[in-house]
Amino acid sequence: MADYPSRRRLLHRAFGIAALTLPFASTMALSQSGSIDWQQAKGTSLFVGMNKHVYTDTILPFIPEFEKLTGIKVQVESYSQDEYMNKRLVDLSSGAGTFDVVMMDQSIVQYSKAGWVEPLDAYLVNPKFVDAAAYDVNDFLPSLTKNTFINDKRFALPITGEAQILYYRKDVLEKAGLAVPTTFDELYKTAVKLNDPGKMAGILLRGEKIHTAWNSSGFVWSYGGKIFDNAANPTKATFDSPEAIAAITMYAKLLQDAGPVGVGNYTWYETVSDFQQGKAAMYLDASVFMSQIEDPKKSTVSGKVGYAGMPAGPAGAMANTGAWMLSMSASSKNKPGAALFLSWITGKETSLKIGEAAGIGARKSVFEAPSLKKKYPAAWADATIKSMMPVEPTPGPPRITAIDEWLDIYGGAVNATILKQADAKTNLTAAAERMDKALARSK
Amino acid sequence: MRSVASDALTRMRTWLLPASFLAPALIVLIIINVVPLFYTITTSFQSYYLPRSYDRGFNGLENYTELIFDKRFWAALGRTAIFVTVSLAIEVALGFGIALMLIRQRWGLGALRGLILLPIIVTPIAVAFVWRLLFSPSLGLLNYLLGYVGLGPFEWIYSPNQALPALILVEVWQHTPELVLIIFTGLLTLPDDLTEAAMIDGANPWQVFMAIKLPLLKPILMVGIVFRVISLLKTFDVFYIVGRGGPGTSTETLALYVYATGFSFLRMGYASALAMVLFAIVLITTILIVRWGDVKLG
Amino acid sequence: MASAHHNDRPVSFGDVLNTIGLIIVAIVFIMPILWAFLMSLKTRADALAMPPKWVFTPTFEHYQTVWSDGSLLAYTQNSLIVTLSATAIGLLLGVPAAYMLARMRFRGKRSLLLGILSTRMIPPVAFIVPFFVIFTNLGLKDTYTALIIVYLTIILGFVIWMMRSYILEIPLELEEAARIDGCSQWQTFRFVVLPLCLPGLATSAIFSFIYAWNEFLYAMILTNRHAKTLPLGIYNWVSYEEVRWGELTAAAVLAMLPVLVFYFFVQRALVRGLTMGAVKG
Repeated sequence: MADYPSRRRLLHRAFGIAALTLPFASTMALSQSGSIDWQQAKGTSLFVGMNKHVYTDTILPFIPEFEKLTGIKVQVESYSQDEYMNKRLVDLSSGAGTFDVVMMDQSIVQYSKAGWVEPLDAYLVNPKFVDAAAYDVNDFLPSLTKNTFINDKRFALPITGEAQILYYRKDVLEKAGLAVPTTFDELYKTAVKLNDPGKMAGILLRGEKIHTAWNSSGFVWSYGGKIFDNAANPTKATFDSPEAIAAITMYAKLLQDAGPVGVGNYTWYETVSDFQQGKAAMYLDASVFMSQIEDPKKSTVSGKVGYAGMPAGPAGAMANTGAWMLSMSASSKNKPGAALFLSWITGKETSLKIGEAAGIGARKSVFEAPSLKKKYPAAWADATIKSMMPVEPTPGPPRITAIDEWLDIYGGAVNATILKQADAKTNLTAAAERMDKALARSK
Repeated sequence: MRSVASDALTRMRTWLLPASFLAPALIVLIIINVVPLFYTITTSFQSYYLPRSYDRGFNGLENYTELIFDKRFWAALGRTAIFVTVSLAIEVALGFGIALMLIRQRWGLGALRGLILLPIIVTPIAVAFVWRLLFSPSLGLLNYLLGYVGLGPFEWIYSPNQALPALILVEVWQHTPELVLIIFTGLLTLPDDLTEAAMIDGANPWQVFMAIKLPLLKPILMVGIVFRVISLLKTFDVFYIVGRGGPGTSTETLALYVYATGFSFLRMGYASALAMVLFAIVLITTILIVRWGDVKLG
Repeated sequence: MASAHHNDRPVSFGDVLNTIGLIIVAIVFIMPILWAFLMSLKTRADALAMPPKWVFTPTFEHYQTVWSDGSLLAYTQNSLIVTLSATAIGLLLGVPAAYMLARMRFRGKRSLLLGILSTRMIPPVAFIVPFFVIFTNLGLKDTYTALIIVYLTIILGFVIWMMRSYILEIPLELEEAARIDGCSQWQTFRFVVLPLCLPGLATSAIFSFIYAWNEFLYAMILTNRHAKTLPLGIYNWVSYEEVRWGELTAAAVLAMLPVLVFYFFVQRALVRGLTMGAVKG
């Protein structure tokens, strides 16, 4: 794996060079005190399939510690997103057993219902693998943990979350004498005022069909709408309700009146590049892009960016969150090794190290750690944490098997609205009808 | 016109050499194609939703009848037809023009030919990403350059109306050189004495080309066209990376729809049926070209 | 040989026009590649700057990053082994078959030719899953063998058809003459037909090489750790939050080099074919 310069800098900032040797000593201590026999799968190999992600890059330097602790040889294989999704699907669905542990996303419902991933409850209460007291399973953020349960069984452990936040150009807003918007109406007015066609867009949002789904869900909730009738067990699409229509109308209006030319096919490739190049005044998207925007080698706007939480709609500010998790493949040939790995890497201690190194995590204890707050732009940390720990947890990604059809159908409707192919009502109503069919078929 | 001697030659008396020349290739072709083909055909008659593979079972012609009423399929088919026809027409015209220019070029032939052929060798993955950036309305080179001659700004792949033409542009850019190479090689293989004789007889170069070169070139040209059509009908890589069929479904071709149905929507049975229909479409198109183009098969 | 004759006559206005035209065509075709090449030498902020920076301090950091990653070398090796093997096997099996299919007459030949061609028509998307299942069961997943087999499905039919049509261009009289001179069938093929279709052989080899070299979809699904090929190595530089333009283009530029080497190597066959043509004329 490449050791990216930027990541290396982060690591050095986190520990100082000398500190890199420290974690080893502490895991030794753990292995002596805990109930777990870390050496029980000694001599085996473990294959971990990962998506390319900050988390993946961050854990790599820690892997040798685990190998030393357990005598298990770990091979982390990371792939670009599309490649990874295809590989994971083909491997787990065919039972080929190439991967023992896989990085999991919103496909969790599909994978668990299909029986491709292992329920983890038995492992979590088994003292052979998990020291319950030290592990503290209740420390995970509720908004992220919620998604790991399917029919009351736990199929994954959360590792990192992302939340929707508002990036804005401090200098541009200041020059225009505008305040940071806190509601969608303010966001719209500010964006339109700052929009300077051809030079600087007022606001960036992803517009490509599949990419709109995650971003616009936060809009729908903030307007008091729901994507599906019953979050825990969806039976009917409700993204054609008046609230949802109002939300999607706003999403489209923002882009039509203050977005960049050609936004209808914008994925994060374009949004992040545009923002880095100073082509937009505001940008509403996942918190994970901060590191790209603040890197002076890649970005012309680093240091000029302010961060704010998700703007509020009639029903409050309901940012969408995205969770990455780890699951165990049901066709793994080394389940004890996989259980040890999960126990170790999602444990409190390793999670904190990862959090300190890259500002990511899924545990309350990580985000509340003073060491973490010291390292990152305070406003970014505040905005992220505020969005990640909402008073009332947001529904999260739809808990359905036909998740990709949802992305296609619902995202397609949002996209068509942005492209003015029809109004939000027409598009969403037709889409809801198609979604219900897909839902029935995949039951 | 075949002479008696050539008849004797073609009707080879021993079967051993012909068999040993033909058999290995045929056996390998059959082995590597028949098993997966059988699998796909079987699956196309099944109800097979990947996350519920335990429910997999035959459902007769259901997948094929669903396809008849699938608007998205028909839209993709129409789009594919437009894409193939337009791309092919441009590629053949340009390919011929450039190959003829190359043939008469006096200086620097090797260098010029090498440069023109470069697009073929670039990995489609890289092509797709680079063109995606070239097309960017805000950060792209194309709009910048076209701005100088007073054109644009265009939205290219970012607009539902311009996306397909933009992808045709990429396709033409990458694959015209293939036809250039095929036609150029064909022209080289032509025996010179024929053209020389005609020239001596007072025919002008155009007449020589139309009356002598073109008919002789036809077999190789038709093969070039057949292979272009086949791969155009199956185009996937660049479309997938440039826009995944977007914006909306404005650039979703049949191959992309098959992919989405199988690997995103996980409807393996239906996807197999779509794939078989795509296969049939390619086959029929090829047979038609072979027939109309009078490709020598005998 | 065509250009040889041109050299005998005086330079005409048409020659100059032809040259200018070809230079313009060449510029259009290499523009995007040149742009990618420049990008591989730019820092990220420069790479995406608009208006574009034509004058900049080149940086080789992306090449360094890509190179020091280590895996690129392994991917190159994998790609070379798979591509060269598939191309060689494709030609070895395909050329003799093409000869017979060009010269022999038998019943059902038409259908056989179409059948061979139809192996090229199956959308790869349809074959991914069956191939994955088959290779997993045979224990061949993630091996060179698997990829070579898969690439033969792309190459073999192509070689047969391509070579057959080049062979059809060769005047039958030449073979007859050889036969009358006492050459055996095999000798006729080896010493008359093969040398005459060298340009076609070169072209087929180049195309087969390129198809296998650049293939993405099969390689993505069928390889994991041992047999990953170069296009996947290039795709690797698309990370979670950004396209790493510098590294991606640097890797793409490096991936072109072996194809260029192969092209120039095979090019000599083309040139030799040309000389044959001259002798023939």
